[in-house]
Amino acid sequence: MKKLLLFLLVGITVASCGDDDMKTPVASVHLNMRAVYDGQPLVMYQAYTYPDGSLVRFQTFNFFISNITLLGEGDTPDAELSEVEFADFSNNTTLAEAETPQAWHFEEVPTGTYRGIQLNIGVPASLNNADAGNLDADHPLRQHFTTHFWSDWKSFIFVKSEGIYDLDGNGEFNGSDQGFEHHPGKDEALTQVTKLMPITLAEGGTFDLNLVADLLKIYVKNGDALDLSDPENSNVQQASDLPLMLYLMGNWEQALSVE
Amino acid sequence: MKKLTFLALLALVGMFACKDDDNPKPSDGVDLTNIAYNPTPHELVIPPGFPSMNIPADNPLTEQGIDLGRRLFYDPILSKDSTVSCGSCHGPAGNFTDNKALSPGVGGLLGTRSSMAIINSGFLSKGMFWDGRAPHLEAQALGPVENPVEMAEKWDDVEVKLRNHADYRTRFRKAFGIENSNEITRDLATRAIAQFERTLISANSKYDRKKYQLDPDPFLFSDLETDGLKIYFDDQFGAPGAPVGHCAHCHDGGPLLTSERYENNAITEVASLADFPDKGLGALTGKLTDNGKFKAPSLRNIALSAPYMHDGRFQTLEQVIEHYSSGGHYADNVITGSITNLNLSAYDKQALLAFLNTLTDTTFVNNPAFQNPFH
Ligand code: HEC
Ligand code: HEC
Repeated sequence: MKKLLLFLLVGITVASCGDDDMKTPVASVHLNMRAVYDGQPLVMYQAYTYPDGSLVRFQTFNFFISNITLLGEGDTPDAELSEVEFADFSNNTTLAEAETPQAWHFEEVPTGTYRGIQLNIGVPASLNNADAGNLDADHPLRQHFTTHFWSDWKSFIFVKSEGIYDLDGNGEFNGSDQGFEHHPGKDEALTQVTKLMPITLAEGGTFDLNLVADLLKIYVKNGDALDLSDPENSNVQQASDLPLMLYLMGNWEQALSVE
Repeated sequence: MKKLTFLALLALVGMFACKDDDNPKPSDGVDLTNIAYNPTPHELVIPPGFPSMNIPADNPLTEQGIDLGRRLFYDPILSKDSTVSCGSCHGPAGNFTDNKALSPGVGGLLGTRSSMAIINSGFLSKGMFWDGRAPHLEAQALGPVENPVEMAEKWDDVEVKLRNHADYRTRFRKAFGIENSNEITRDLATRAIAQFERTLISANSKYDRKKYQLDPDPFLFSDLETDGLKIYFDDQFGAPGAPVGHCAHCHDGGPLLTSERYENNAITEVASLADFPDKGLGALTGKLTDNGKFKAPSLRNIALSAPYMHDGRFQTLEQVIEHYSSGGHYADNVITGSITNLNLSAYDKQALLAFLNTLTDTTFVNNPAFQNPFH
């Protein structure tokens, strides 16, 4: 966002010095995101089938996306749309809610030809500390400081995925099933995702970029699903859980797609 | 010349006569403009590790505003029969609770929920009350006055009482620059109370000294307390079979010790999600899966604010720890990744209790600036 502002500022200054007609032409980018499970709209508290045939259910799914950037092509420089945003699908308890994407509107994006979008899942290292709590009240990192800052690691939790796995296989959920709480978040777990696609922004136009986050795909690597029946895999919160954290974060390139 | 003077005089008298007619009757309020309005900005000291405080642009802290707010907070004038003040249910000795399961309001009537601690509340941003229904402190302070089981009064009447009160007239003038006593409103009263509440900052527990003030004393925490901290934060570094309590998943938020999550912590046994006697968040959102969810409050000074939970059902922290160790009662909206049978040993429970006791900050509850000014 800052970069974008700078770019605009320079643009405006240049425009005001020179030809009166010269203005930085801009367009709007609407970033829309839906969450799904194996392609189906992700409804919280609804049972889905895990690859091993057991039932699984989620009650929380949210994450930070950061350095959201359109990658410039040719003469068009990269344009950063936003430094940090927060995506939260935890309140989608009906199909209608799950089908309605979360939307971010970025106005005044320089026109041009872009070759794709790049973003990080997580919080950039420069902001990933308690000082982020001092940002403006409406900054996503201040808004979600209490819920997502894990003071023991001095890091934000990048992704929260919480739910329950039908351990006893009786087709319903109860207290003896395996709850899980996957909370990866540490500088080394910041994950970059790149989606290449032609994006042409014409002056005054609006470009809709529709992303889909498939929660199941975070749990699957090379066709193998994480063993949710293993209690060792139920939580990501200790230093020793780093391998599991990196496993979950490493699957985001496939979990996020453009539709 | 004489004629002119006469005419001028006449006009003047006429003017005065007119003015006389316009003069305020006593019920039209008291002019306060002869009282100096010169508010002193209050510099909040934000302790290390704390996030910023959300102070509304239209309610900056001033010494005069805070002082007025403190008086209103402790003054039973806000209640119908002058028996109950905010401080009756939120007393400093009990970490700004009343140490009762349910709090008696006017006439001894009991509500259905336990009083909540007011501590570092100015830093919170995800709602006030057990169900988060008030967005901020100003909005929260409107509620108790007209609540029939709390102060049972009408704000209209409170406004009249405050306007007729010479000392409050002066104090509202000094805090907010009003020109007439009729400008005393509930809006200003709740702003003043919120200003006072924003100064209720606690940052001086043993835990703060260890974690945020970086006290170099290696023996500041006993082994028991250190083990309790590890259980609280799941900080076991993979030691096999090491106990984890998962507490920080709902009670972290850095030094605030609340993650401001609204959750069902499995204290109530229900046949289905529709059956919670107090639906909590669900009553607000209308979502079945929100039933039985309540704010996970700050655990700062928790040793001072018994009894515990939204209905005050647990008398001691031992009982609370016993509850979490057992995992409580499963329901479909419990986060069973955290709230599950923890299998804590007797030692683990002792350690957790010892850690919770390091969260006590007596300098906060004894701070002279926070006490009842009428005592
Ligand atoms: C009769 C007892 C009683 C009185 C009087 C009372 N309160 Fe409370 N207070 C409570 C109870 C009970 C709750 C929780 C109610 C709920 O969640 O529905 C509460 C909640 C609060 C909270 C929310 C704290 C949080 O972390 O969400 C604040 C702030 C508060 N009260 C301030 C006040 C103020 C200011 C006054 C005076 C204007 C006041 N109270 C008068 C009993 C009382
Ligand atoms: C999944 C979230 C969650 C976890 C994990 C959790 N709590 Fe809580 N806690 C809550 C909620 C929600 C409440 C309020 C519930 C109510 O009143 O109905 C609460 C209330 C409390 C209270 C009472 C606070 C008061 O002011 O009355 C204490 C003490 C407490 N928890 C301690 C702990 C400890 C110790 C642990 C770890 C063993 C823990 N909690 C783990 C959500 C959680």
